[in-house]
Amino acid sequence: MHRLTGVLRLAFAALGLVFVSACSEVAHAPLRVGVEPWVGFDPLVLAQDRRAVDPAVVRIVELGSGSESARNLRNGLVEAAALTLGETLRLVEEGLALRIVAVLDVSHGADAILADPSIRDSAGLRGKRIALEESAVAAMLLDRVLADGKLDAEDVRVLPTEASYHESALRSGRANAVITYEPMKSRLVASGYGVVFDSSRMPDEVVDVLVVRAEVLEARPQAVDSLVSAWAAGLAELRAAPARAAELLSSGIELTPEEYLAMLDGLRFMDLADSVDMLSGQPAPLARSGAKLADTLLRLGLIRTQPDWAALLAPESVARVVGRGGAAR
Amino acid sequence: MSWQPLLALPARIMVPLLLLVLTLLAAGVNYAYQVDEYSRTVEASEHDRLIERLSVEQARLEIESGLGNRQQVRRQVAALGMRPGTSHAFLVDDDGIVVAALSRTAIGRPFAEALANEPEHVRDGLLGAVGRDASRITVVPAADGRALTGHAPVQPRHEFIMRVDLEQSIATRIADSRGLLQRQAATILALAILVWGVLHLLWFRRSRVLTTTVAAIGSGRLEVRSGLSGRDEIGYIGAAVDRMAEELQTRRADEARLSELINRSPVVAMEWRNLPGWPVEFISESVLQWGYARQQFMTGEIVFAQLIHPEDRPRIETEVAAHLADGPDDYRQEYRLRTADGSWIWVDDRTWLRRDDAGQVTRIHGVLLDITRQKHAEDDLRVLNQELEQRVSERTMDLEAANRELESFSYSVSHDLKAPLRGIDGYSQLLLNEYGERFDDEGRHFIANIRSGVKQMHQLIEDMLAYSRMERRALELRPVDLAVLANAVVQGGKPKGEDKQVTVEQHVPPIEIHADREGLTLVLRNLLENAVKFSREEIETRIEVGAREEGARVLLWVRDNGIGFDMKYHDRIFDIFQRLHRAENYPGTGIGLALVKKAVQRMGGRVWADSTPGSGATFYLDLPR
Repeated sequence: MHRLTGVLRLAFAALGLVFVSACSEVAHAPLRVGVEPWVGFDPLVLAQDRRAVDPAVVRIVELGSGSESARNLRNGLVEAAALTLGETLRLVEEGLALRIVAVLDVSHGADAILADPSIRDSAGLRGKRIALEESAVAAMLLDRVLADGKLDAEDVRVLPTEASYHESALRSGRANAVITYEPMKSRLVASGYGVVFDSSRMPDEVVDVLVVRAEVLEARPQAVDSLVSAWAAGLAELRAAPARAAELLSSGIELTPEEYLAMLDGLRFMDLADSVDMLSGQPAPLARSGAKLADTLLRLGLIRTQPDWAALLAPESVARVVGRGGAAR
Repeated sequence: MSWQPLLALPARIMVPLLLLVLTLLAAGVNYAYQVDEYSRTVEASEHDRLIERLSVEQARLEIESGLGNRQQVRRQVAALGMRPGTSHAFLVDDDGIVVAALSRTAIGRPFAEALANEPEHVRDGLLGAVGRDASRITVVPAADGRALTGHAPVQPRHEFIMRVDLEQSIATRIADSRGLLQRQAATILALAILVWGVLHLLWFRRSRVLTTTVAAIGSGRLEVRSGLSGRDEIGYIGAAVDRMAEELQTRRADEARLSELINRSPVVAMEWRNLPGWPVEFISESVLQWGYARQQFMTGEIVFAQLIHPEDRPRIETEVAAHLADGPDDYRQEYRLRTADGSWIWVDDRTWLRRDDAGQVTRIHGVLLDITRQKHAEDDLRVLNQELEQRVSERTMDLEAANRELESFSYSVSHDLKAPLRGIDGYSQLLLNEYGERFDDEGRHFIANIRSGVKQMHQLIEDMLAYSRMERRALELRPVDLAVLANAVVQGGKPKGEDKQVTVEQHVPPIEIHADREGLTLVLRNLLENAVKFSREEIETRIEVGAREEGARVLLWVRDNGIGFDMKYHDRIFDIFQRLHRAENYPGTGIGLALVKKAVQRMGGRVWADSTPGSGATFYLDLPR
């Protein structure tokens, strides 16, 4: 009988060789990561420009807005995306199997409600038209600003507008106010529009995360590791030479390098060690803070159930990269 | 690397392995062709898709640019990054400044500067597209065929340049085909296992039984049988192996019986190699009868040649050397051997040699029999013979003396009888002459009878004396010419047939023999007289004397055409005083032929006769030369 197993072993070895060759990385297209022109995600753009990531493995696709990122993630045109935590929870609620593999930044004023100079405070928004993206962050900000101005939802008129049209909506007068984020915020402030309310008044509530489709994380963990490494490398580059980064990145969003550098004050970047801390543990810190966010979204009717945080958080990739000593291509 | 172990694999592994390897090889070759084919088809299809895409983007960009919506233009170009294979996309204005790109970092920079970090072949391909045909969309493949660079003019005064990497598409197609290869390999494996299973049931299992059976038989277990049957090769081989084992078993039993026979027989069977000292190749157990063990010879502890008696050894060695050199290859030798207890035995060694094709002796076989008792018996017999011969010799001498005495006596008697007989003859003659007139006829008849009796007696005495002389006379063997002698006898002693006509023909060639002339003359004369005496009245008497050489001997004959005799009396006619006819018809003493026989025997010859009554007779003499 041992002879039979010998023959089978040989045959399986031959077949195994074929399988192994068939499953090599060469067969995969690059891992496409949708990022909107939000300054908090710029380390990824920087990493790609500095070739800190192999374009054959990871490709950063710069999309127009968070909504566009979510749509393309839903449609399968990108495998990963940088999103707000709230947006992530909405997508999960829709049934999309996503995994949070890293925490990228926490907004600290970078998200804001801007209005023409005639509107001084939250209460001044009564009866006004507010342009906003159909996103969780926009919904949260609207909720807070209405609460702040003691207004009801019916007191304002909401104009669903994608982020790339926020400026034109405000400048054309179609909207009296806009809930937007950097770099649109800086450009509008530079044009004389005033900040009515911003995320600095909601500390640690507007969190941006890096999400990957669950099946991709399972099938291509090495590509995800490369993505996480790219974030670390881009962040390190930005921190090491912020002026050069501002030079590179500001032009594409029609800001001056100085405006770009000032914009960075409105957020706090998270490095990989922060991600490991926030994603690990029972419960993980992100799960704790995220639960409050989820309660708000539940209340607003944007989601119907609390997410399964344990399934959602996937700290393995960042842990691996940190364990290997940080950034790797 | 040695292929030997691989080639020596058993069929039950080799067959499915070969099947697997060959089919995988075929699948591999097919795969290589497919890869080549994919490269061509991917390039063609991507070429068309790129033109199509450029056409769409050209239209959209002209619209957005026309609206002055720079951010939208940038988003539109950047979003092309989602398109698989698109590695680069740039919208460049007429000053060569990048207006939109996949990466925001390129925006606002001169095109060449934006490409500074790109590999050389990518940079060259993209820069080469700048300023291409301003009237239409163009797509150019890269030198290595791994990419396509498309160029679309965008109004007003912009150029849209896009690079599509084909490697990913080719790799995807190849990966797909690997999936196919994988399925093929799995199918092949399943088939190989199936074939192996079928072959195992039909063939390998049976061949294994066959192998183990042959191995068992080879190791001496002749009672093992494969039990295989059927009309396939293995069935036939299995049955043949079983028959062979049966045959071998029978032979082994025969050998055992034969071996036991030899071991229990008085002979010792041996085989020597034809090398100095004649090393023993085989020796039967029966050597125990000499007190030795087989092993002592097989291991060379005992050298056979040294057991041969020193007196016999030189003779044996010389004889063996002669047989080895010139044959004959079967021979017998007798010699003495020393047994384990130190005593000597005689052996009869029956030897036969085996030679190779070149005639060289390779093996010497021998069957040795202890003939010591026979030898002793022969010695005893020899002594006995000598004693007997001595006794015979003594008796012969006694007899000869007695015989001589008897001959002397008979000679004396015959001689002494002649004197009184002469008296009777003389006085009866006187009586007839002086007183014949006084007797009547009857008286004269009586006297005539007395004289006839005297005459017959005289003849008898003469013959007896002749016979006796023959015995006593010394034999004088000298060279004699037969032709001369025969002629002398015929001429000198020409037989008188009284009134008969006698013709003697001589056919005697001049042959010289060693013989006693007188004796031979007597013999010939007697035979001639005999021939004349027994001739027939009515016809002419014809006598033939002839002779011829017969090797070392001479045949002499005397043939007549007389009355002949019945062959049943053949032996009697040569005995003394034996007569076949009445004396009245054929007078004689009955001594003539006895005298002939006696004389011939003394010369070492032989006499016999051949006859048919009424047709004559032939007397033959066989004499040594």
